[in-house]
Amino acid sequence: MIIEQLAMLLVLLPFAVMILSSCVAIRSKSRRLALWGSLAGVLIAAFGATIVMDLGLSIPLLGYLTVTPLSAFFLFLASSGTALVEILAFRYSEQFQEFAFFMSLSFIGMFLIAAAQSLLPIIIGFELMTVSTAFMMLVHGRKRAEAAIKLFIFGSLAIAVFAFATALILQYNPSLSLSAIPQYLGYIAMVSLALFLVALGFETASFPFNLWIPDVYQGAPAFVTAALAGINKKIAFLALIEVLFFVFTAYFTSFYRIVEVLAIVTMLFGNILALKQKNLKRLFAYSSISQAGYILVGIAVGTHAGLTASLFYIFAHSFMIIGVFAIVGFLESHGINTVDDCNSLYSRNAFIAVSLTLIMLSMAGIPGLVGFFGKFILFTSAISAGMYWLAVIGVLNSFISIYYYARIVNASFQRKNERTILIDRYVQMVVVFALAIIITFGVFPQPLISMASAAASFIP
Amino acid sequence: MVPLTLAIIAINIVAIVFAAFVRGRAKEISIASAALSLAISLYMVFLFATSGAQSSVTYIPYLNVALSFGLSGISSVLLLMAEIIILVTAVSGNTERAGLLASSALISLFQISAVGLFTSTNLLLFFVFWDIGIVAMFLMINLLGSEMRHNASVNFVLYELFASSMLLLAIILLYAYLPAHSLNIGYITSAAGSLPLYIKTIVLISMFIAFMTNMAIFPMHLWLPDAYTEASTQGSMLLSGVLTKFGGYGMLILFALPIAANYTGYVAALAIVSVVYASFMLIKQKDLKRVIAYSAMLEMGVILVAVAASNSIATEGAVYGMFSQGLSMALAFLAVGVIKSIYDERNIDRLRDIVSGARSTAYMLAIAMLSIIGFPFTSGFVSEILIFFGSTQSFELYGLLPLVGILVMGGYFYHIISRCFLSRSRPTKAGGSPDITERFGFYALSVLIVLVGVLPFLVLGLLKL
Repeated sequence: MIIEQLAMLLVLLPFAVMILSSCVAIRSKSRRLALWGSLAGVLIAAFGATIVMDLGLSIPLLGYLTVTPLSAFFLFLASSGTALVEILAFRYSEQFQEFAFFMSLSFIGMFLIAAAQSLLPIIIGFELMTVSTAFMMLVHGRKRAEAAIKLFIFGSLAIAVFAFATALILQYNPSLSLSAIPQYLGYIAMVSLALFLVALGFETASFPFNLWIPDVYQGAPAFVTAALAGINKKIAFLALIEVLFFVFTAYFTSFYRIVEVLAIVTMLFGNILALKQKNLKRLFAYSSISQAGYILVGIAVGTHAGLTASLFYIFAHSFMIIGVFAIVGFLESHGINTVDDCNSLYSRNAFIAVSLTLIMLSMAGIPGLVGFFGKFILFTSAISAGMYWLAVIGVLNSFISIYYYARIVNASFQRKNERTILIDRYVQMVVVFALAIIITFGVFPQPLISMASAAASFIP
Repeated sequence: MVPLTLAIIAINIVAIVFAAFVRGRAKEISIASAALSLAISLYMVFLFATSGAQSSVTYIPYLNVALSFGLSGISSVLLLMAEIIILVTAVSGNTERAGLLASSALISLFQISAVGLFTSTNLLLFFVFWDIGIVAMFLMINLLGSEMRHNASVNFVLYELFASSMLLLAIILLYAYLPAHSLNIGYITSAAGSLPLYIKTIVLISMFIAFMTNMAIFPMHLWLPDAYTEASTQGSMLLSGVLTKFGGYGMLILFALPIAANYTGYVAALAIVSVVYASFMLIKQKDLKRVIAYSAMLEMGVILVAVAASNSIATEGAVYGMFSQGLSMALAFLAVGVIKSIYDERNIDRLRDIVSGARSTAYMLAIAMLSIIGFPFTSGFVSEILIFFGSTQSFELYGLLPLVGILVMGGYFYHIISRCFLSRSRPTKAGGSPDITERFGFYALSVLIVLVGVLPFLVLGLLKL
């Protein structure tokens, strides 16, 4: 009991630390205080999450929330991702204190979704995340307003649809808890399920609800894009898992085909549109859409193995995309915006060129890096469940993606002597951390697999 | 075996890190790591010959994958061949004197891949090392090659990664459908017969496409001419000497599975088409490097005929052929690289009288060519005898059809030797001579070619173990 209370404190303490420190920091205009406050907060959260995962605890909080290893898995992901984004923002943001404040709010939203035992915290969590991410963009000047408004409008639309879908099943589930609704509800349940898929399709960037993604990713500052792609989207996948597998368990046979089609179309859409992109941010936006398709593969499979694979890939892709946007932001600050600008990047800065190559190889699924085992267990689970086409199209897609990654690699290894660019140590820190995760779990995937597997066993 | 293989991998990783931080000593470091790895592999082969044990360590229990390494007769021959070629490449491959750091680091990376691939007894590990090799070779072409290297390298990597996605598909299918969910090659060989027919067919087709692309068999050979020509000398040596043997080794594994027996005739027919096609492409080429590139494609076709024949003599011939072809191709590309650095020219219409301008280089290229066409007292002779004895056993006289291609190639080689080497009219001006490192490569490879040509039991004894 005492351990549980301590762990509960560990889980709640960070929010207090983060909010308080960023408020004080805004008042006293101290960037460092904001950074250290938020880092301390997320580190405590990550520590608490590790304890919960280690001991396999389930801690009920306030009646609406329960911290399980599943939520701790995502809490760990969110807190380490947040730490990386904060470090990036500390370097590049002129309004870091305000950014840290909104990031803390967003982090609370992530926690609410991760620990949700009811549909209500999920709605509140999405609102917190969307609104504060939009503000994160807005505080960086007028030219970010377009992206912020797009995100705000589409995010609110998604929340409205989500709320409507919740209302449809309200009479069968008056407490709104994440418990299975009975199977014989007929078309009302199907309409609600469809609306949930639409809302979460917006949030997880799956086709056809993802047309706003490239604009927003391109318009936002790179570190906000990293937060959006690396954390917000990943938490949205947890919400999708919660809705589909906690509430609509009985309808699995009806929805898995839909998710399968969504997965296939999302993979193809992202990859095919990425082929011709010139702008780096847009290219990686489309690439992250296609990677969202891979994650959907495991959800469509729906078995324990499939969900394990999905969680594994969510974790892996989160660090890959944060690393990528850290590099892209760094390049942007040196005037490198398009694939052609990457010319002779290797001779200008070898560290950045080699790290970007490694991360892209990992996304393309080259062994020795974490992306390979992610894809391997995803496609194995799909074939074991008899979904051949999912696996075949997935393998072909990772082949297609080679083409646009190879274009960047090809450009960056041109032999030309231009003026060198000096590496920034904050960016270097973030990239080294991401690479450490990518290579460690690429060579020894077992610890991450067992973590994901333990978390996935909490999904009914 | 596991600690030894891991030791080689560790040595090469250390070599890459050292090369990156110790400026100016990259070449020495890569030579030292290649020599150490060759010594360890010799010890591994010795262990295999005396005790024959293979061992494994838990790696990913969730996927039932263990780090299992071991040798067989076939893989020990290929391992030694790869190590010898890599050592020679590390010493003498850099005829362009460019990008020392990148070239040494990539040789070490490629060595990790080659050693891991030829020693792994698990198909997943095989795949892992396969892809590492592809990436190393892609970077080698892209960083060190000549003017058109960017197109050539992207072309190469697209073909090869298409091959590896096909291989991945086959591996996933095998993993999901085999009852024990194990990818151990020994287990797959014993259990693959019980799979449903359509799974067997899909696995066979996708694995065949994968290995065929890597071996550059018609019609999946389109990456080959540019990649070989645009790569640096060391890139071409490793590409032709080691990388295409990945596919050959894979084919040997595939045809040992009980799923390919009904298709050997079609495979042999495709291989013969590839041989004839390569021979007719070869006689149109003016660039010396392209000529050698197409002869490499032709030889791989001949080897595929032997693999498809899949009787014991033909299999020995295929392994012996890969061994011999690896050495001769490496020697040929090294000699062409030296000719390029001496004359700054590779076009056979403009090269004249090489034998007086660059005597040793000309002799070496002649030895390599003789070995490629199977001249007695060179390793190529033994391999071709074995291959054609074996293939006539399985395919009767049709098994001799690849000889047409070899005859055409031999004729063109005679033409090249008489025009470029011996013709004294308007001799091309020579500007230099091979230095000590390149001479080392010449002597090591040519002595080996003649030695295993005269004493074939050195290799065959290992194969029979």
